[in-house]
Amino acid sequence: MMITGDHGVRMQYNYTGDTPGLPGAMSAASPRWLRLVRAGDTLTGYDSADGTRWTRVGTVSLAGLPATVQAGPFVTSPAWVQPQNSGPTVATAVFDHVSFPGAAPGAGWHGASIGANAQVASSLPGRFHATGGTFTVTGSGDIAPAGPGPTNIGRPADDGFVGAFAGLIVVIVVGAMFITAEYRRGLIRTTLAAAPARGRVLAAKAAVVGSVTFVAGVIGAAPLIPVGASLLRSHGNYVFPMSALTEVRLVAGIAALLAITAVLALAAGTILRHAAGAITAVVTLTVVIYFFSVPLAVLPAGAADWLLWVTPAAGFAIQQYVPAYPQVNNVYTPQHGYFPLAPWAGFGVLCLWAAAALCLAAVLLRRRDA
Amino acid sequence: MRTALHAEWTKLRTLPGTGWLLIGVVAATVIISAAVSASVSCSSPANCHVDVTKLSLTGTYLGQAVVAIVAVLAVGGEYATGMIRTTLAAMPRRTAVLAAKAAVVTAVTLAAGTLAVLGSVLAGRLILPGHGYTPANGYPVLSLANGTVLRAATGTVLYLALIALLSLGVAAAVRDAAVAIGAVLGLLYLFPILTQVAGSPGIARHLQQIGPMTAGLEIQASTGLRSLPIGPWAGLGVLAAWAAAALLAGTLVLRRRDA
Repeated sequence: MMITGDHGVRMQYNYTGDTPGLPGAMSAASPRWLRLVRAGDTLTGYDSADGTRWTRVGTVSLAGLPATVQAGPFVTSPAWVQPQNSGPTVATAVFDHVSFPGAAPGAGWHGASIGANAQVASSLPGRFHATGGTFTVTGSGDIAPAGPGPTNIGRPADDGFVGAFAGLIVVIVVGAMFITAEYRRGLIRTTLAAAPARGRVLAAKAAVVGSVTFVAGVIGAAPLIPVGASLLRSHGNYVFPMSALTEVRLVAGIAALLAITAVLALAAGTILRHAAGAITAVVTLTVVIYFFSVPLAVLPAGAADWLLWVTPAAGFAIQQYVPAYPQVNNVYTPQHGYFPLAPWAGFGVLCLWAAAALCLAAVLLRRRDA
Repeated sequence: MRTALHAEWTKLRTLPGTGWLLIGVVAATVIISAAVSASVSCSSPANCHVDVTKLSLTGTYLGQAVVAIVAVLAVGGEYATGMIRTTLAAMPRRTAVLAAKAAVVTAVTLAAGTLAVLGSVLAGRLILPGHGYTPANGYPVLSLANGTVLRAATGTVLYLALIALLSLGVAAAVRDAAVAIGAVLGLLYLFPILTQVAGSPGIARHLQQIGPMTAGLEIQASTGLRSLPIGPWAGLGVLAAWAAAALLAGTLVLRRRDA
């Protein structure tokens, strides 16, 4: 049970559950009364504006709650975060009429800073002061699910996927050369004489380069998450947890990203018939746009989001796995691993580009002399 | 050497792509620089912490890729068509051939780079004051009369020339345009992407100090010079070392191998 600055009384549980209570701002002239009642594993929250008429806010069942638990008033204040800078904030509250059934007012309470340490830039140590039955509590930080962001609480386990960028450039070179080398050597004339259905030649090339790249991508990406996560942990980082299913999705997604990019490069090579031009075009559309939107960080968030919506670089969204929580104050930008599109939607944008380029390549291959 | 230069100039000049690519260098640099200059805004001095000199030259990040194509094709194009055999039969002093190519490519890159940088600074000078980067907010109008802006501008032209030499060296070493352009683009863009996930700030800083692009482009910095991973001219020196190493590798391969 808590009172917030702008969102009235809330009952929150399990880091993500949230039930609203009395709305409106609180002040010394208009205080709020809070009550938490435990029965077995069930906790029920009540609030009141006057201490006599109580309203039930919500009931939560916490399975496996120990028989003895700590209880008491708390104060938190989430970090202040902006794209350029951020820092901890502090809040102080005065609690009176603090009571616990069966205990004398003011007895048995002691203060503690929970979770404050030098590594967490989002909080400062708290303070606690008791006079008679009145408690003054100062707190900092948040009780919330952690996510990557300027507060720097943890790291995603897929940081190792940065290695995929090196692989991406290699598959772009391979994909483009798969057709431009034929043009350079004149082999394309033999190929088209032997297989006059030009659309099928291109489709066969796409299938071969795509499946070979996918298999190589799975082999390359599979060890990245376990190795990367254990390296991060060995350096004292908290790594956001990931289910086995998510891990499979990430590995398959990175391999698919490499495969579709190779097909896009093949299509670009067919359209331009020039290796260096095709490679530069595809590297620009993927790696360079990612570089402009994410590490360079000169673009305002809106422009970076737009680039990651409409260009093939949208496919990089496939590596995102930490959910964005609307109730947590954070900077949800690509710099912190939050892409504007959902993982498979971003990947779909890349597929659309590859499909469109492949169609154009097929039309040009049919219409032009080799 | 004069005949070698003349031959290389004729080859570069008469290729159909060269002119378009050089126009591409200027266009890519100026358009991206102007677009980025137009995308920022500064409503009050407290909420904008932007190095406007560097910002107005953002297009370099894309223009350099086109410069790399020009330089890679100057060598790789000859290997693709077999022209290199004619070239080396006509001019058996192979080091002189590569030196002539380097001289010609550097000259055209300097010319295109100068236009690109002048266009970018001019765009910044015209656009930025309209977006709140005014003298009243602590941002003087961009002018080449300012020593720091002049250093950033001339340094960026030199940066592009060094990127051309690096690409030329890599192309001579790998003797294939496609592989060379892949290697150069990887070398340029992978360092800053790696820096982003480096395990510690110390490693990130080292990566920025040794990356050809991250170190070389510090030449554009005009604010916070004390906190740069590497000084402006030292950074350009790092890129020069990369270019020298690539040219050395290219020369050795060219001299020792059959073409």
